Amino acid sequence: MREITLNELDGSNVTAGVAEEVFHMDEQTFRVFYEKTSHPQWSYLSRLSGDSALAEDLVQEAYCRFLRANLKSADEAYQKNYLFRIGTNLTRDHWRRQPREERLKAGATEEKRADDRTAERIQQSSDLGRVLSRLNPREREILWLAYVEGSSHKEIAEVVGLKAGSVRLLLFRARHKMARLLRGMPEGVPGKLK
Amino acid sequence: MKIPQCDREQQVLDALRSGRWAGPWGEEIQRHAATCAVCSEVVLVAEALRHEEGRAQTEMRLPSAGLVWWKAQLAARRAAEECAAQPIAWIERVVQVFGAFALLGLGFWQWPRILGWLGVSKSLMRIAESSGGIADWAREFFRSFPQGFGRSPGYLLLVSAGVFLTLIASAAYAVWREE
Repeated sequence: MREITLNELDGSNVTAGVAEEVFHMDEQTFRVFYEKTSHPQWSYLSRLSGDSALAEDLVQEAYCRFLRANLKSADEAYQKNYLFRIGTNLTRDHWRRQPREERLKAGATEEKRADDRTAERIQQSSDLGRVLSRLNPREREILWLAYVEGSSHKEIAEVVGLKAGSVRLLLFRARHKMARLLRGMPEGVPGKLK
Repeated sequence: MKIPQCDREQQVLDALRSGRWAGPWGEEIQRHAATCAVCSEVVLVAEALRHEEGRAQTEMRLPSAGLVWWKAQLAARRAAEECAAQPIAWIERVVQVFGAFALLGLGFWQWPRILGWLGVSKSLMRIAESSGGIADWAREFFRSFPQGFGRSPGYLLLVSAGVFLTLIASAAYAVWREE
């Protein structure tokens, strides 16, 4: 993370007025919201990106953007969902930016490349990580939101930028794929579901 | 594609999330999940992910809310400054474009005079070459300059435009270096 300079600290007093004008919540409200949402947000982004340090940066950037965003509602669930959407988009932007040179060399798609590196990192971190690494980023997003955050199909759709109907199908496929991987079954083998 | 569904899927998920799953109240729902393909899959996946979330909590590194708030303030300030500086940058660009067009137009309009001016310069160079002395050259230059210069107000305009464009170029360079 970047070091904070004394000049920046001095300048922080001047910014108070700007913050009051631009942010949609005051500092006290933000602190409460942060305490409630930062842990789930970090877990989500760390497992999505497979990189704890990157997750920390993404969380901070997500809150900075969230505070400046023009929110349609003051509802806490809506705000949390909006924050997750920002985090998801930032992670995708990171994937797109990062492997450009590699893509030019290898001709592979950006997301696939970044996903491979993410997969390696997750794989190193845990046994379950090996299973997660076999899922693509969108599958990880949807599964995490559905089964860890308990989000509805509509909420997931808002976060990942899909239609609720598509989420239902993708969630089923992703869940089925992960279940197969957890049971040690190879992909493509017909399942038990009727 | 027909998606297999179970009406009790949400109930299973709620039990897992609330912790009722492991308690005595969860026995009935556990019996159901054991016989239902959809719910058993939901349990398998949800428990694995929740276990991973628990693991993530132990390795969590998060800055304080105050630090994030302060960073957001800095970012807001930077954005406000960029927004305020935008019209100035636009004006600078417009001035540069107009300056360039003015120079081209002036050059086109005063082309015969410029050629004449270059002719004077060539004759001065010839004098310098033939006499070999810089003092003679300078004397001739200062003698011919006011005559040529005072012949038409176009010369005055030409020099003004030159000074103006030099200033514009210096300003543009200063701005570019600052950026």
